[in-house]
Amino acid sequence: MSATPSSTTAPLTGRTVALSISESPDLASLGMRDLHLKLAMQEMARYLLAQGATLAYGGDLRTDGFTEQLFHLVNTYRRGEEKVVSRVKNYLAWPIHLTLKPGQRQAWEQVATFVFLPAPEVPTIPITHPNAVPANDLEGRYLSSISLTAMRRKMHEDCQARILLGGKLSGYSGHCPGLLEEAWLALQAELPVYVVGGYGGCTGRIAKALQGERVEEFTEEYQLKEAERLENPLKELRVFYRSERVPKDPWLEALDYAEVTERLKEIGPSGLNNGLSPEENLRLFRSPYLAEIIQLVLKGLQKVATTSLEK
Amino acid sequence: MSDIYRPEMVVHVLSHPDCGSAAMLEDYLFRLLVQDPADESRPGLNIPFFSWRNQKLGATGRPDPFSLENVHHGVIIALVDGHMARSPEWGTLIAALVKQVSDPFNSHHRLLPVILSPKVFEINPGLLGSMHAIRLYETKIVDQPRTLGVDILHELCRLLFSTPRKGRSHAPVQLFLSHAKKDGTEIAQAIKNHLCHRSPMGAFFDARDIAPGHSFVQEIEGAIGDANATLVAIQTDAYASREWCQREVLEAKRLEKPVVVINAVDKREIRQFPYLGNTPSIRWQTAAVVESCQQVVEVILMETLRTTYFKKLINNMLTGNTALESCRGLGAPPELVTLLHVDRLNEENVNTIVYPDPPLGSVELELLQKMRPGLSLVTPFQLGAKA
Repeated sequence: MSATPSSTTAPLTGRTVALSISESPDLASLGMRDLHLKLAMQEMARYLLAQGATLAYGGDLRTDGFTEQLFHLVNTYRRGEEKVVSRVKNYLAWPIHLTLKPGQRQAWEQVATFVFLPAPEVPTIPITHPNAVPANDLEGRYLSSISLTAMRRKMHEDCQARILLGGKLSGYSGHCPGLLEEAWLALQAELPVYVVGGYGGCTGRIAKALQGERVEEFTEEYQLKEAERLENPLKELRVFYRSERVPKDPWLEALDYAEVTERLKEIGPSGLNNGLSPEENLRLFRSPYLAEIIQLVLKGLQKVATTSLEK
Repeated sequence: MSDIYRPEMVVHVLSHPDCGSAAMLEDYLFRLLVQDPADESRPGLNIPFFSWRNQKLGATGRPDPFSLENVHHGVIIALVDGHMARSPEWGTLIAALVKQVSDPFNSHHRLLPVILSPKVFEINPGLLGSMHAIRLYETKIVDQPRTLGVDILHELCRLLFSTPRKGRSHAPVQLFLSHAKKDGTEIAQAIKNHLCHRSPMGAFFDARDIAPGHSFVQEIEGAIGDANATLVAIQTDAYASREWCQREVLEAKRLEKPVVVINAVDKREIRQFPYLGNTPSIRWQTAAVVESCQQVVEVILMETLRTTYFKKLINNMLTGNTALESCRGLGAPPELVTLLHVDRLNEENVNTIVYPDPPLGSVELELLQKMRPGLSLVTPFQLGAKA
């Protein structure tokens, strides 16, 4: 069977798709449960793999059986002599990969190629050693936070698209909700972004922001208040970002909520450049039906893949 | 792609937040109708399924995003316990739902009330009007999930069959029990008895059911061809060598009927019938007839629902879409025998076959592709993305 990208049965061959599918606090109010999220992860992976795509996950260390499912899926859809691990990549930020538990490592080793990101190099904040886990002090947390950003940027260099679904709005590691940063960085890198809003969470809010609605959670005030409530030292982290210790470098800055929401509003459903029409993006923002969501995502990805071939 | 997505069927499960058994029952239904997380080898029906267990009723009097708009068949399963019966808000909601689906013989939506406690009738006798409910409290708690599962599966099958009977509920599933007289009669009879006592499903049992003077061939082909028919192949030692059994299976496949195999080979088959594949099979346990019957019924209903649901899904997708004119839908993944029957595609200028998700693996596809190189074999998601 042909494995060329233009083949009707594997049109996404050679394309790598970054997936951010994580827990959403809104599931119950949408009539959904954890099982729905697990299903979304599994089915999204299934159809992408069946169409020839390579999957990229960032910092995913789950050991709840997902990797076994993933292994089985890749096995079913791989072609010829292809190795399973060549179809899945797991990007791990520093210093997370230094403290991989054996169970986590084992779970992912059979199914994915690891990409370990190097330690950050900030002249004003040296690290003792790249293999040493930083202290859990302010500097350590800052370095971990910018490492997450670096990981996300690296993913966007290697991938041709990003899919977002769910996502926490508080209690995250890093300096802002992870999926928001991923969306922001992907859009800046001009990657097609698929905003699956129907499961709520951070992605649901991104969908709202893209439609010009005001999102309370995407304000510094809300985030700091929430962090305080959860006894999370976010405030001092964000203050540190703006301090003298941090060199002037756009990639070392904290995400600015006002700037991001303004930009999302400007982009809107018509500016996502993801192969979908504005109406189709609006459907993707709202649909609670996995079948419709996957159809739309595949349609968009294929359109983008075909267009890029024609260039 | 059409502008509005219209799901063929959506299931909503309503229960009161304080209902003790709702979680267990709902979990079971989820695994049945959507997917069993423990079974990674085969994805489930993936019927859109929403659970409103933890939702307080919103200002609209119903869990807010709950909607039947644009849905072909909305199925609302209400798990009614004492808490729900006592609550005025829930009472109002149920009454509204009863009204909305009050014409079940014409309506595309169904409300399936499940009574969890006999007290419900004392607390609120008028709650469901004259609507028939599933009295689950009559079953032992430990058996309740399975009993409910079978009832729900059957109701969903009936809803999807497009054979409404004037003034009456939709026709039930009809089983054709294909068996060898020599050693299959006992099992066929056991199943028939089980169905008689526990289910509205009908079983066609050939010889005895054909009135004298009627054509054996016509009656059998008619029974298999019945809109609601599912073929059950009772595979005993003698089955494979019986010409009639062979004909029945091939006829069922030719007519694209659901087929389920009961594996009851005792010692050996000299030569297995090559065409029993591509079907679910269930092992018959002679030492546990009741359990075997229960499992058989479950598998039959799952397969019937799967094939029927899928056929509808794909027909809806293909209808009226000129870009998909040269596509033909199937109710089950294709096998070589399918491609043989599908020869008439050449006359119809069909170049694409659309079969149920999940996509077949590369090994099978390569084989099928060898037989019909020009034919494209895709699943709805793969196709939907192209259209």
